[in-house]
Amino acid sequence: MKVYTLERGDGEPLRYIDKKRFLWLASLAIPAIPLGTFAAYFATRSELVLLFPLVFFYGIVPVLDVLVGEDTSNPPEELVLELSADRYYRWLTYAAVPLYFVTFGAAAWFVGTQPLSFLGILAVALSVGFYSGSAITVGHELGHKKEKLERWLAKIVLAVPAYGHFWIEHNRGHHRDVATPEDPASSRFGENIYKFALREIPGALRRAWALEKGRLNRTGKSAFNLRENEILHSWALAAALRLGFLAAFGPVMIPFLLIHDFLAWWGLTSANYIEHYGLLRRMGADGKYEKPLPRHSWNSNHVVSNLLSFHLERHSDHHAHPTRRYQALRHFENLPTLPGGYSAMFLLAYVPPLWFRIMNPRVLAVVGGDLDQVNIAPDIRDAVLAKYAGAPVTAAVA
Amino acid sequence: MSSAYASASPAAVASEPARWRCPECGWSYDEAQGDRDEGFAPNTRLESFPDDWSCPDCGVRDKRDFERDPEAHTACISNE
Ligand SMILES: [Zn+2]
Repeated sequence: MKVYTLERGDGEPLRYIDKKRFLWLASLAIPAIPLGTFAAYFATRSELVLLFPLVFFYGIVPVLDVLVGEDTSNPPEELVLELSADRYYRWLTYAAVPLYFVTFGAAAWFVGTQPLSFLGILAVALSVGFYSGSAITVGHELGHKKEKLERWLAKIVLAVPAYGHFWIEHNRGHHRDVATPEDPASSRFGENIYKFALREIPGALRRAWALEKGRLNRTGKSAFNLRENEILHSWALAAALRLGFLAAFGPVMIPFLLIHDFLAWWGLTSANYIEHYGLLRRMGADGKYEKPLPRHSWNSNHVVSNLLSFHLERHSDHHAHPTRRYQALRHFENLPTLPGGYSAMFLLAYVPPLWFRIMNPRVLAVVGGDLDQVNIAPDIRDAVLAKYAGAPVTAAVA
Repeated sequence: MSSAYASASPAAVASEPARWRCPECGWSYDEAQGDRDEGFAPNTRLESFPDDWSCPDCGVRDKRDFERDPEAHTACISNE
């Protein structure tokens, strides 16, 4: 395995081996799971196998997260430059891009040509759609980078979930406004995930368009300039793909694509919902929010679900330092910490009373009971203040 | 940081195009050159950027956070 070394003036050179180096292949392999179920269908002719991707994510990964546990280790800071410059890691993200297209195309072909029942089609649309949401994870990692190639790959892979506006909104809207009431992608204390989705999905679209329009208008260009508008690049590819599938496989593509795309967006909504729930940046005397710090994101060090998501769950360092590469993201002490990995936390979020019961005390513990540091849903603000003001802080932070 | 400008009069400092740098990610902006992607014509001053504008690379710093680039007019800064 590759050893990173730093010569130090006197004494032993600093050495570091990334034990996860080859395990990151798991993030790359995610889109292969639905592909495997198509093969399993041909072997068994059972439509049940088509649900395996969802069983894996929601049933098996939470168990593996518990069994394998957490890893709080960090690479030595002195070797982060070398680790970040190692092109092996970025090749994994590049390679994921075509895989998502293969899986998406294979799913369309499978639905369009195999004698599936309605429930079989539904199973493929739900499973592949949810996994296409992971294409947003790949687009996320690529879209945060400074290199032109990586940004282009982000735009391309975001065509799979038809969410090309994501990286514009995410990089320059969500990151700017994270953990404030202004951000449609930061969930509020007492806001359930279903209400959040109705604010987050249209909010992302509106703000992405406004950001890109503002950028283009500054040079007197129209927002509808297809050559320059980076959202339209990705949407054009998304539309071409879908029209191609429709032409090749007929009207069965309409329900398939609608469900597929919605599930992909829902995957992102699920992640957004749990990443900043209730957290709030303080407003300074100058009327400006404090800069995003690690404590403005919920972090998770669960090994398995991190390996499946290019370290997305080390979210605290990501928001403090958004251009840092996935292999170099750090754990910090005393962070807001999720009790589980994303798989388990998504499930919890889908049952709001359970989510509130587990997460609300953790939010209060993070801020030491100070409700001025909680991003509270405005419609229930009075009720929250009445209920929690002066309440004892019992839950542990980490 | 401002030593390069120490010999200039305050008026000259105000009129001289400066070069700026994002303290988080190193994205740099040369006022003399402007930035085509960001839609800033040559000689657009940082202070005239929109208030809600944020760094195009990291998104978490705005014009009030930017620092004078100490390597102004000398070399390109590696962004990695
Ligand atoms: Zn920056």
